[in-house]
Amino acid sequence: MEPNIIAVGIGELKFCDTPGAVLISYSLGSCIGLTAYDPAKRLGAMAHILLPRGTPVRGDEGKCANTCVPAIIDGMMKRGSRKAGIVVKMAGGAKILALAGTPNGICIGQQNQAAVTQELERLGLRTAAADCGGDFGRTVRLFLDSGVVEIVTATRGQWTI
Amino acid sequence: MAENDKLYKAIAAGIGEARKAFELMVPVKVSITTPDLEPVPLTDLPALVGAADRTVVATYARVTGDITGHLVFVYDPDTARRLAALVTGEEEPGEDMGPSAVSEISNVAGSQVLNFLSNATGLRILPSPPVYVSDMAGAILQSVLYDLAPAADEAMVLKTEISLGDEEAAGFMILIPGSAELALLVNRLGS
Repeated sequence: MEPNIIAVGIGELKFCDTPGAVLISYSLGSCIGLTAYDPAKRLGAMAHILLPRGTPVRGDEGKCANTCVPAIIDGMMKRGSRKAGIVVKMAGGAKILALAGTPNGICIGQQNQAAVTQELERLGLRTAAADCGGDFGRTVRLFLDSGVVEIVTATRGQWTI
Repeated sequence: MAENDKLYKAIAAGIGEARKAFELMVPVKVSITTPDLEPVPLTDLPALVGAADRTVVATYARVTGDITGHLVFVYDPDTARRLAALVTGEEEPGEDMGPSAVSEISNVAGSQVLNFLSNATGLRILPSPPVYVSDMAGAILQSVLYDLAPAADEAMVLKTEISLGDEEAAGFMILIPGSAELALLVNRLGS
């Protein structure tokens, strides 16, 4: 049977506890695919973060790291997870185009990664695994039956974290 | 929308020049469709040229000067290879020559459109040197969002399809002005 595949678009944050389901963010460039997983409940979440910080409107918390990180952890806890039991991973934050940095030359992908790390630290958490940076895009999947995060690239093969 | 009509006409005329530039560099007939100029939600941008995770070849130039923006050419990998072969006159252009040829022809064609806009508005509009990349279409197109997303939920996107010879359309030219710049362009064209 085809597994239940749930696409997480830019700026979205989705939670899922359907057995065997797969959360997926396609073709992350400078964006971050942030995953949270509770092995005890097989509950998972994925966010597709676009920017390090901002003041998104209600319902748009997934867009920026500063609102997305608290929202993903809060959402897991509201669904019954203990904070200490949440496994957080992230992937993305690449620099695809050498010219696509902000005008002062700072790479937005690195800023996204740093902002996620900083927001997690604020909550007393850190990533169990991360696969960030480089100059290539990543499609990221979170398998809810195992908590494995799979990364697929266009030119460099695929791996898991 | 009447104001955007003027912008549309100026760009359409510029695209005619881009087509001529293409044909000067390759020995086949080149078609570039009449452009679509429409607002696109930023969340839809990665899938602008088909599936976001499709592998493509692209060249990217940042638009600078009196206005800012993004100029992207996206090609199916087979089309990029064919384009490189046509430009260089070699069946199998070398590893450096292929990307260089694709970047060059894209840059020349894109510059024609920007020149035309520049002449029509009196604004300085310049492309940066192009960057060549082969990756997922979505990852490439997503790279311009850092610039647009803080200020807007959608972008005015100009998109045309390019075909070589009898081939079906297999390339795209995409121009995305910064949101503030669009008003400036329209304003200048109206005066």
